[in-house]
This record gives sequence, structure tokens and C-alpha cells, in this order.
Amino acid sequence: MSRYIVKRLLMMIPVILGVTWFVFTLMYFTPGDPAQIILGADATEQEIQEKREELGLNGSYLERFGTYLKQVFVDGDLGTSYIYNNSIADEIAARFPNTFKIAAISVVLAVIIGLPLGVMAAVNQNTWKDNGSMFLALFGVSMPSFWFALMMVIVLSLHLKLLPATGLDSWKCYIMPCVSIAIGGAAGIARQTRSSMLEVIRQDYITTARAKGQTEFLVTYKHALRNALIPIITQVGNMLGIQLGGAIVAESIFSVPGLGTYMVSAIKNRDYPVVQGSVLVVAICFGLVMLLVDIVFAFADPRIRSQYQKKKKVAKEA
Amino acid sequence: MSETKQTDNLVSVRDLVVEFTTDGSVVHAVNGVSFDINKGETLGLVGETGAGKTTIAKAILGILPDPPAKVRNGSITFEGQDLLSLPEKEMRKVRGKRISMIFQDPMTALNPIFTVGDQIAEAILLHEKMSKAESEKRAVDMLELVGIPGERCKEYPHQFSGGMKQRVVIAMALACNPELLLADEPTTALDVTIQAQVLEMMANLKEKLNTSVLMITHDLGIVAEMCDKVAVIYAGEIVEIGLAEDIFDRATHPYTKGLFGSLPSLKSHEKRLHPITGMVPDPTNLPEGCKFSPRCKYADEGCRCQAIPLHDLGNGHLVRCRKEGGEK
Amino acid sequence: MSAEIKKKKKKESRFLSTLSRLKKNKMAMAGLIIVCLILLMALFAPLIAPYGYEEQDLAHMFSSPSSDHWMGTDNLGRDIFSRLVYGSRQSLKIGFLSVLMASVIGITLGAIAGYYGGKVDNILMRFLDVFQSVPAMLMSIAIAATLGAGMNNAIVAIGIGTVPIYARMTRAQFLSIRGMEYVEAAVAINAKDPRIIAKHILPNALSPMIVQMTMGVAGAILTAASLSFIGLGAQPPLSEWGAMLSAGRSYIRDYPHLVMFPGITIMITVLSLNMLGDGLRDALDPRLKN
Repeated sequence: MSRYIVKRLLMMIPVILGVTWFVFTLMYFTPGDPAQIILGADATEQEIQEKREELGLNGSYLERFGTYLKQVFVDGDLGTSYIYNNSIADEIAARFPNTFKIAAISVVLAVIIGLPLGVMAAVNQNTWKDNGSMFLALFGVSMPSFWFALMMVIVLSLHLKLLPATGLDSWKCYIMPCVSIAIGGAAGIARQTRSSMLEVIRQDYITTARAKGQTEFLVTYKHALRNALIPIITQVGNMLGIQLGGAIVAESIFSVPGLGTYMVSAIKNRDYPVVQGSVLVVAICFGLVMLLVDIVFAFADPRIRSQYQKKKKVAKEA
Repeated sequence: MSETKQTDNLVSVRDLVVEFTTDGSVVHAVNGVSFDINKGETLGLVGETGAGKTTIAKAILGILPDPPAKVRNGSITFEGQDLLSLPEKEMRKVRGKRISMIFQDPMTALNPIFTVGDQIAEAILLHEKMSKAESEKRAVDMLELVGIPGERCKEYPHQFSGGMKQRVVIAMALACNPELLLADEPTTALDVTIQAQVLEMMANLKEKLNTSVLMITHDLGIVAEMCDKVAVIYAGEIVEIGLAEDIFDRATHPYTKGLFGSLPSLKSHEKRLHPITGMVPDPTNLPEGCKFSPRCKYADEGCRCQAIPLHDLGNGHLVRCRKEGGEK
Repeated sequence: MSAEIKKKKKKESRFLSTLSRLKKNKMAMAGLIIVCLILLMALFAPLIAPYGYEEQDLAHMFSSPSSDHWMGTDNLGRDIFSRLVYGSRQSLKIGFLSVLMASVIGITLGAIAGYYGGKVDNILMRFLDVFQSVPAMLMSIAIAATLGAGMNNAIVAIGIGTVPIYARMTRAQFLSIRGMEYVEAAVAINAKDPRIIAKHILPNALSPMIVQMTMGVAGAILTAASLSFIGLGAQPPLSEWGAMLSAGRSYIRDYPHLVMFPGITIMITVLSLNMLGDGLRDALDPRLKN
């Protein structure tokens, strides 16, 4: 198992390099001159040239890419923001906890709502419980989450004045961003849970469990749900990965100082090093979450576990 | 059934009717089936795929999926208790403890994410007053009883072969010494050599534990080997029932005869088998009168217009044919 | 000859049975009807909308819904209902074209990878790994930023961002169908690759793709709205729904109808597409239904 994890971590390296190249290239071709943006409209041609020189923007594509690679992977430095002139790594380190907290709370909330809803729908297939909860879930996946966020702001902040509309100063601030993200996630998880449970509850071993005299509750939650978990875990992992990349829209609505707002403002300001640095961090997080998902698979399903062990055995023999 | 055996009666099924409703059409899966099984006796339930055999077994155990399945009529009496009117909570105490079931396909009957030991122990824990450790010990004993080394109890189903899995299923079914075992084609999915082993093992265990068995099969060889009585079922109806030797020696219903006729025999010199021509009737639209009449070479107008009652040939041998197999 | 006819009949009957199953599904039919209505709305926008989408009436800014302006007017006195009607053109265009783009590229790549396997497959999949190591939404934002704001660029950004979904799905389908005996039989009689792909594999791999594409249009409309919302989608005065939402955001305290109606419109559109997609999935794969 640990061998497998190490292997997976090693496999992430080319992916990370690939992402670095891809984002670098995207930014390279993005129109707009950062020097011009930093200095403003009334800078002289010479000032701009000097700034370009200072930022290292005058080199060729390959030179600049090489410099960037060395800076990041050899010196371990994500660089300095063009606009704010501070360390990108520090800024990300300061913002990431906010993004992480919101992501984690939303995912937990989504699972708490979505999983039982999906199970209930599957167990009561084609009854009003199923139809009702699935219609709700369909609403959930169809609703623009930022629109729902705005509606919450209108009702809960502006009219009822129950919750603060922006910032992250108290626990109350987390409610609306997390709920707005969790709704769509919960709906997706409920739909996935239902369809994967429906596959499982038709299996013979579920009848076997019933034939043993097991209670319906344990047949559902012990025998069926545990077998239905794999696609659900994938879905949850995906949601977590995406949210760790910054709930871009939700963060900007609620002015959350997280990774999402950082990236959006950087994209708008042509702050290349910030975009590159944050996307890199996002890609690493995403890769780690996917690895985590695969490890959780192994705990959920002994067949997958034994595959890993087999690989290990084969590797040992070789 | 003769009166003297009444006291030995373990389970009696009367006029059982089961229907499945899907998308507005009604599948008549079981249409008025009655039979008895005495203590220690094995009844073979023989018929084609889709004849309703598994449905009968599931109805006895109360595990028919509802919806779509519904028991429309009839009674199932087990040791004087009507199982159909038993509350779910009481029924759970019967399931797995006093009546248990072996499923057709061992490859899918075991839960892939629990160890086989846990799956056997689960049945024991549910019904016996035992600690977890004791139930595990008993699970190991059960595995050994069916010829699997006890130390394999920590392994998962995917680590077992098909025959081994079926042994595990059998161990699970027998774990609480059930009075009635419903064996749904227990060997169909297995290789012929493994089949023989499993059957022999079942016969031995049955002898040892004095369990009654409802043996569902379409294999007449198994019936000959294992069963005391035989019920031949066609389109959800019993068409012929009686002691095994009566059925084998004096098969009367054209369908039963057809079943024997479609078996290859080494003794006779016939060059061809005699398959039963035609198709199993559509269970949503069963023919009126004798349900076998569209495929029966003896059938006439009389067979097609009225329901045919079971006819007593003596010695508990009943047949649902007004011509008694075309002889009259 | 007769075999050919039989085959045709079989194909038709499969299509017809799918259709009849779809017809029985009330939700799917409701979805289909709404989608058709929205399409008609986009097609006949000038006939339906009482005002032009750019028509400003500065005397009636921020008016509440009334008989003159069913959904009220915005900060420039433009009729919101009319803008939503015209906006359906933009949103549907983004939805359909980005899915078309993503599926054409994705299915081609996935087909090549799944059919030929080996090195080609490996290279393509590693490339997709890189691509997918960043969430699709972020990828679309980055591409949109590179290309610059605007409708067509948003289409390309969303299209490229969702290519991996189609590529992976097609590859998986091809891999599993490739191993089927009827394909091996076709290979055995020396059929040419394009013929095998077009005749034997693609038709059998189609159902999940159709479902994914239907849902994909819904997803693309949502993503497009998000892009517009952060200023990277359609630009004013075009009345794309997400852009309307974004523009109305500054006035939510006093004039919530500026964001309410565009949001509801997006939701109804996406909902009906998803309803249709769900119905199609059940109809194409009846095994899952009962």
C-alpha cells in the first residue's frame, strides 16, 4: 500500500510539470502587458521598457519558461506578485486555510444532506419519497449556485439582517458561502447515491442478507450502502478537489479572502506569477485529493485493496 | 397426504398466488400452488426457467420484492404458524434461523466487501444468544463442516472459487440449524464434478441435521438422487406431484413426460432427443384452461376452455390433466 | 438484401422503443417541451419580446414588474423580459456550440485512444491527466482570460474545458466494445478500421454520449453564466443571462428583481435540459429503471 502511494506521488510529478507548462503557455499568450498595467496609462515608453526588463518579460518563450521552472522547482519560490509586490507563497499560505475551511465544511454538509436523501430515494424507488427528493435534487443541480447565494444575501443579510454578507470574521460568515456551495454538491451526491444504490440493492447478496433475517435498516446501510460507496466517494472527492481550487464564484460574492478571489483578481490584472503559482498549488491539491480517493477506495472495497497488495507482492518478487 | 403423516407436517403451502405488477401489466408468476413438506423430507420442485419456482421459495421466506411482487392469495403454514400474516419482526426471527435459503448463483450471493467468516457469523449473531467471539468460532466450525479450512474465514469472497463460494453459502444457510432449507438450484452454476461434491455434502448434512429441504431444480438427475417427493411446475401451476418413484416410473402429465423425453439416455437407441415443442407461455397473458395445451399434442377443445383440476391417481400422486396424459 | 432490411428494421425498432419509453416519462416530456419552447423563444425573439434588448428608457429605470414591463426594467430602463428573451439566443448558442465543440474533439480523441490503445492511448491519456489536474471551471476561466472576454471565446473556453469528459467516456466505451465478439468478428473478416468504428462501435457507444451531451448543454449554460458573472463571458450590451445577473448584482439591495428573473430563467432552462437528459438515460438504458 505505501509502495502504491509512493508510486502515485511520483506519477504526479510529470502531471505537475505539464500543468506548469500549460498554464505558463496560456499566460504567455494572454494579451495585455503587465508592465503597462502596473505603471498605469501615463507611464512613458521608457519606463515601461525598464519595468519589462525588471520583470524579466523581455526574454524568449523558452528562456522565460526555463527561468520560471528553475525558480519554482529548484529554488522553491513561487515568485512575487506584480501588483502587490509580495511573496505569492506567503499569500497563498495565508489564504488557503480560508478556502480549505469553506471547502471542508461544504463537502461535509453536502454528504450529510445528499447521502441519506439518495439512500431514501433508492430504497423507496418510484414512490412519492423518491420522486420528491429526486425532483429537489434536480433543482439543486440545475440552480446556478451564485444566484442562490445572491438570493440568500437578499433575504438573510439585506432584509432579515441575520447574517453578514461579506468577510470571514465570525462563524456566521461561513454559513452562506458553505450552504450555497453545499446545495449543488448535496444534490449531485444524492443523485449519484440513488443510482449507485439502485444497482446494488438488486444484487443477490442483498437478498442473501435479507434471507438471514437481517433488519431492513442494516440491509440498507451495512450491506448495500457500503457496496454502493465507490462512485459516491469519487463524486465527493471531485467536489472536494474542485472546492479546494477555490469556490471561485462563491468567494467573490462573499468577498472571502481565499484562493478563488486571489486567482480571479490575478487573472483580471494579468498578474501572471500569481495565476501560475496558484494553479500549481490547486493542481497539487487536486492530485492529492484524487490519491486520497484511491486510498479510501482500498478501505471501502477489499477487492481493490487486494489489487494494491498484489501489485506490491509482484513488485517484491521482481 | 395421508392422515397419519399429518403430525410430521412441517410446512404446507395452500393455493399460493403471486403476481408481479410492472408498468401496468400483471405477471402471473404463481397461480394456486399447494404442497406439503414433512419433517426430514426433501421435495423437488421441477420446472423450466421462469415457471415460478424461485418465487415460491421467496414467498415462503417472505423476501419477495414488494413492489412489484404481491402475494394475492393463499397461505403458508409453518409449524402451525401462518407465515404470510406474521408481522415482519416475527418473520425476521424465522428467516435465517428456522427457514434458510441457498441461492442459485454463488458468484453473486456473497457480499463482496465482508469476509466470509463475518457473513456466516452475522447470521449466527442475529439468531443465537452468543458473543461475537463465540459466533466467530461457530462460523469457523461451519466452514469446516462444509469442507473449507477454518483459517480461511478471514478471506473475502473474491478469493474463493465458485464451488467454494457455494459451500460458504451453504454453511451460512445451515449456520443456525434450520428446520427447512430452501435450495434454489444450488448446483446449477457449478462444474459437474463440483456439483456432485456439493450435492453429496448437502445430502450428508441433511441426514445429520434432519433438515427438510425444498430442492428447486430443473435437473431431473438431482431430483432422482436427492428427493423423496417431486412437484412438477409449469407456468406457475403444479401440473404433477407425487412420490419421486411414482413420478419417475409413472409420469402422467404430458409436460412431465416431455421433460423426461428431452433427456438423453444411454440405454435406449433413439437417435434424437424429444424436445417439448413451442415456448413457455407469456406469464402476462396465460392461455385459458390447461396452460400447457398450446404445446400439448393431446390437447383438444375441452382442454382449452376450462381450468383443469388436479386429478388423484392414488398414493398422493396428483396430475393436472383431464386426459391423464392422453391415455383416455 | 433481406438481411440489410432486417438490420434497418432492428435499428428503427430500437429507436422507436427508446422513443416510446421516453414518451411515457412525464418528466422527460415536460423537459423536452420546455426546451422546445425556449428554442422557439430564441428563434422568434423579435416577435415575442415587446421591446428591443438595447432599448433604453431612462425615464423608467428600475421599475418593478408591471403590465408594461412584465419583469420590470433594469438600471438603464431596459425591459428585463425582452432582454431575457433575446438572451436565450446567447445562452443557447454558448450551450450548444460549446458542447458540439467539446464532443467533436473529445469523441475523436477518445475514439482514437480507445480503438488503437497502446502508445497513442498512453500519450493522449497523460495529456488529459495534465488537463484534468485543474478543475474544469478554473481551466475555462484561465482559457477565457487568455482569449479575452466575449461570447465566442467563452464558447471555446467552455468547449475546451469539457473535452476530457467526452474523451474519457468515449475511450471507456470503445475499450469495452472493442473487446466484444462482434467487433472481433468484423476485424476477422478484414473490415477497415474506419468502417468498424463507424458501423460497429460508434452506434453501440452512442447512448451515454447522447445523455452526456444533453446534460452538457445544461452544464455549459451554467458555466457560461459563471464566466459572465466574473466578467469573462458575453459583454454588454449583449443580454446573456449570466451577464444580466452580474450587472444586476450591484442593485440587489433595492431592486432584487434584476437578479431574480435571470436566475430563474437559467434555472428553468438547465432544469428542463437535465430532466430531458435523465429521461433519455432511462429510455436508452431501461435496465437501470426497474
